Amino acid sequence: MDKIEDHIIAHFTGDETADDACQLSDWIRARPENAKRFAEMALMHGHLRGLLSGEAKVREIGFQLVIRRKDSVNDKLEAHPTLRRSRVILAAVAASLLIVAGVVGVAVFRDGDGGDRGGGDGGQIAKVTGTDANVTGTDAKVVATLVQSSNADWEGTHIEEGSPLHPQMLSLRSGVVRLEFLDGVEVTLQGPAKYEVIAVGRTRLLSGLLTAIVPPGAEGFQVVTPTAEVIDLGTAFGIELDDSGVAKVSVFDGEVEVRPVSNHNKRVVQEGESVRVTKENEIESSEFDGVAFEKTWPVSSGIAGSTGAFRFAPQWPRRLRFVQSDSDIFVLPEGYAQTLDEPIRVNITAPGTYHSEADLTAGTLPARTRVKCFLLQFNPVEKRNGVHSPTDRPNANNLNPDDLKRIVGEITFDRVVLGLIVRGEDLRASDGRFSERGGRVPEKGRALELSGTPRDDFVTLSADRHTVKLDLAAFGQFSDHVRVIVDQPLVTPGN
Amino acid sequence: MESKQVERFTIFWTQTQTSVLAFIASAVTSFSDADDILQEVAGVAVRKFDQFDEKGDSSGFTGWVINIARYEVLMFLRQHSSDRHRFFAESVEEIANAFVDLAPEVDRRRHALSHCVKELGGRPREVLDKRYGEQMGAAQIADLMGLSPGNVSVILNRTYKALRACIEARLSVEAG
Repeated sequence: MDKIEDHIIAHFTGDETADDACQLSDWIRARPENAKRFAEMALMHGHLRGLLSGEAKVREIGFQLVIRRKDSVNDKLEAHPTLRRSRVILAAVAASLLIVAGVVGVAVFRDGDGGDRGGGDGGQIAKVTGTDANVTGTDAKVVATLVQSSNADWEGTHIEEGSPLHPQMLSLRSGVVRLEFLDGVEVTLQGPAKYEVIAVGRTRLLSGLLTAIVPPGAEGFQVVTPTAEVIDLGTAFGIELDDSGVAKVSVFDGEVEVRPVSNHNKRVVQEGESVRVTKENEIESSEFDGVAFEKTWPVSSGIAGSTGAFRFAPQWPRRLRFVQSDSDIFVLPEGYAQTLDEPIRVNITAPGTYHSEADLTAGTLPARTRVKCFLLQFNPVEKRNGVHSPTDRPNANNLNPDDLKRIVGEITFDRVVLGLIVRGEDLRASDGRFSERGGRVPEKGRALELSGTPRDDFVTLSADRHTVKLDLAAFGQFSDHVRVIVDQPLVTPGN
Repeated sequence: MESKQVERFTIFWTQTQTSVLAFIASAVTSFSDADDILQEVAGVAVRKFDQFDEKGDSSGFTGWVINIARYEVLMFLRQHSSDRHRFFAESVEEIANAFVDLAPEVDRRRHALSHCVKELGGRPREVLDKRYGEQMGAAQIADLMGLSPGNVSVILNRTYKALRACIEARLSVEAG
């Protein structure tokens, strides 16, 4: 079904091959429902034109209809219909036909005015509205910014954090750096690597390893390697080049299209799959293994540093239930940066240390804020096939604080923390927005215990709002979750 | 044509034009060529309107005009030795019937789409505006936005899919 949909779309974008056209024709003739599906797409194509081409265009069509009628009836001079445009001003139009022109022009224009006549509010385009990729209005020569650098040793000129990047070659001897393009695409490069920034959405990896996170709205991001061209279809993916330049492409989320550089073959690689593109331009399946990218995860996530119990979970896929440890707090980036389409309630908005619900500084993050989200998760290893027994539940009144094991760690983000969510109902309310595929999060027992006693949990937001410290009381099978919402405005040169 | 007939033709035409243009555009890629054919079709329809069953409603009119359009399109494709000639010649019957069946939904689909387009942002909206508003081809858009034509096709592909899903969602909400 998807393949046919691709054929239909290719038909309207002009990307159709003769083979595609034959298959599409067979499919249309096979069943009336298929023909209807094709016609629906054709209608959308026509409506888009009406909606986006503006008043002048549709009025012109309406008016031309009248002029053409006059010509058709009275003479046969036109050898080709395109001549009509130059004849418009010459034609004398009968009064009755001017009425036609008026009616037709106005009626057709309804296509262009957005036509708010009816229809409910259902149906959102969740997948394509997330990013306001405004590339216009900025210095055209600057295409990205170096937003983070970890132990970077550059060949040639040193590039500082915050430096604007023009189309240029980056030669990194060692360390890990993160670039953010004007459209929100984030690329993390691990040295030694050579990487050419060509334009927004267009880059080249000559050696080394990178990961890319492409938020909704920036699809089409492209990395060319010596053997392959990798085109993002809305994803997170990694590319490793071996010494001979052979590319291994691993997809962490979504899908990418991989094409050998010197032939027309291509393959769509899905989440959890890897392929190698050989020097002979063959695409071979390869074992998926994210370990090679492990060093890039903190930087690619926007983590400036961590101490104590914090550990990084593989970014993708995020199966929360299986990320377990009795001694570590996992950091799980939750999907792509996104622009909030409605306000969201958070429980901590101000710096300070909190261990009582009464002290929480609740607030609301306004709609239109672009944010990135992380889940800090303490999740003890399940002992009874995942079934929590009532006998695991501690009796808080009988617990001696000295008997509790405490799990402590600090994590520092490269952007300002706008808010923390620590209460169960607010965690649940925000799961759908931030934890799309996480699923299977515990329904209960995941909130911090904040009763104000020494045996409770403590959470601290630093004065500069970049660091979160967790001091958690570990008992029984209870999980603790903290959702951290970090400011993630699109980087503009000079900021 | 008498004034009452003109009025009647005008009303029918305004209800049908979008479907007819979409039908033509399903075979002819160039917007400008599609406009030219539409104008030919309109001219033929005006001249032959007397032959149309006066008792017919606008959906009957849609079928009648699409029948005119199919010959105009086939003639155009033949004259231009288009690769699409075979495609269209083989499946024109089914496509024409589908457009006639869709006629009652045209307005609802247009309204749904107008809402869906308003929700588009970022690069997808920019590409769509250039493709439809400024009638640019993928290569032109790619040049202007610093992308490859492949990137532009990918963006269009995903945007069409999202719009289609949005339209269907809205229509199903309306249908209860």
